Amino acid sequence: MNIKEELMHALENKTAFEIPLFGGIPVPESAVASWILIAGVTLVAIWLTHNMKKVPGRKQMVAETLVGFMNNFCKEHLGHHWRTYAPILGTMGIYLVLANLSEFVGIKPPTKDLNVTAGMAVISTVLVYGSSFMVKGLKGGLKKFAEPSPIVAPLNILEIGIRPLSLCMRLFGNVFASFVIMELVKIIAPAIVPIPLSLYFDAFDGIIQAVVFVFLTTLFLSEAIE
Amino acid sequence: MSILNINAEIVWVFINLAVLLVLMKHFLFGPVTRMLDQRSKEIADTIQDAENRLDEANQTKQTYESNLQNAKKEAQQIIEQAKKQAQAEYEARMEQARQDIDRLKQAAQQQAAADRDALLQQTRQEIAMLSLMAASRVCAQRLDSQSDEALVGAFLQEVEERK
Repeated sequence: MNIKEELMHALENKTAFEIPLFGGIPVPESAVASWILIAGVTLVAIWLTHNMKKVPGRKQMVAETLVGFMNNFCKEHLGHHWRTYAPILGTMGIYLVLANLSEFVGIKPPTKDLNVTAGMAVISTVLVYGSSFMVKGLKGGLKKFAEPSPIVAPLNILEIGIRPLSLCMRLFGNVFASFVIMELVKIIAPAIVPIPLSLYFDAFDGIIQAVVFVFLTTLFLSEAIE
Repeated sequence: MSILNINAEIVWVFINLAVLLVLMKHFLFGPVTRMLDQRSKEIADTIQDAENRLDEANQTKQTYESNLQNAKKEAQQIIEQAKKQAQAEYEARMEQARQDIDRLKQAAQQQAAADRDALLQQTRQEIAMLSLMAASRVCAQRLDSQSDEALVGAFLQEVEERK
């Protein structure tokens, strides 16, 4: 097996199993990985927030810092709508960070699957334009496309497609590239050398990409509902 | 190749994220935000309460201070009044005493003058009598007639004038 075949093998999005309903529903590996991550983070969340007290303990402090950061971030950018959006954006952030870092616990990152990043981008876009119409009403939402001037309306309409595409491809490209690089490095030098590189490509880049994704979504949102 | 294809499996992302959203809302964002809200509300309440109490305390202090001021003023007034009264009383008494002394002095002077006059009178009479007796011895005759007495009186007058 040469390097190319090995890489292709590692990169392939396999189907984990099929649910034997309606003639078989395929469940991709990324979904299974997501389930594991979801279960893990939920357990952590329960552990952090059970038995909360007025005077916070160490665990509660961690949870409060995390949630407080997300709340403040949303307050800053979305004003009084923060209560609606903080959990949504926070959930997206948590999922993306976990998905990008899952390599560390031996799970293939779900964001390596184009379906996942595309799905996230679609969710983000639906959230942005949906909120625009929800907050501004049908007329106000449509008027948003003619801002700042009706001349740019075609561009604004194009953005409906461009934004998710760029979100999706940026995230996918980064994770995919770092995955490929790491696989190559592991093939060439299986010991020690991958550690610092992995810290950069998997940890640093993964977190940065998650932050960028959430930050961009928030910016689009604040623009949409203002 | 199955690296760059988007297919129906995208639905799993929506399902997974929806599930995660519900779980996170229920176990992380919901309770923690509630707790944070509760705490900030409690802090705001505490501060409000403290401010109210401070205001109350300040008011009470002001009341006490004004009361104290009033009491001091009143005490001052009472003392002043008492002093004035005492002064008046003192002066009245002094006046009375002075008058009494004057009266007594006057009476004493009068008495003294009267006494002296009486004494003088008596002395004069006695001297006159002695003079008469001496004169009668000298003259070997009784000088008791009216004219003699007048004579002696004139003599004494003369003596007094010469003195």
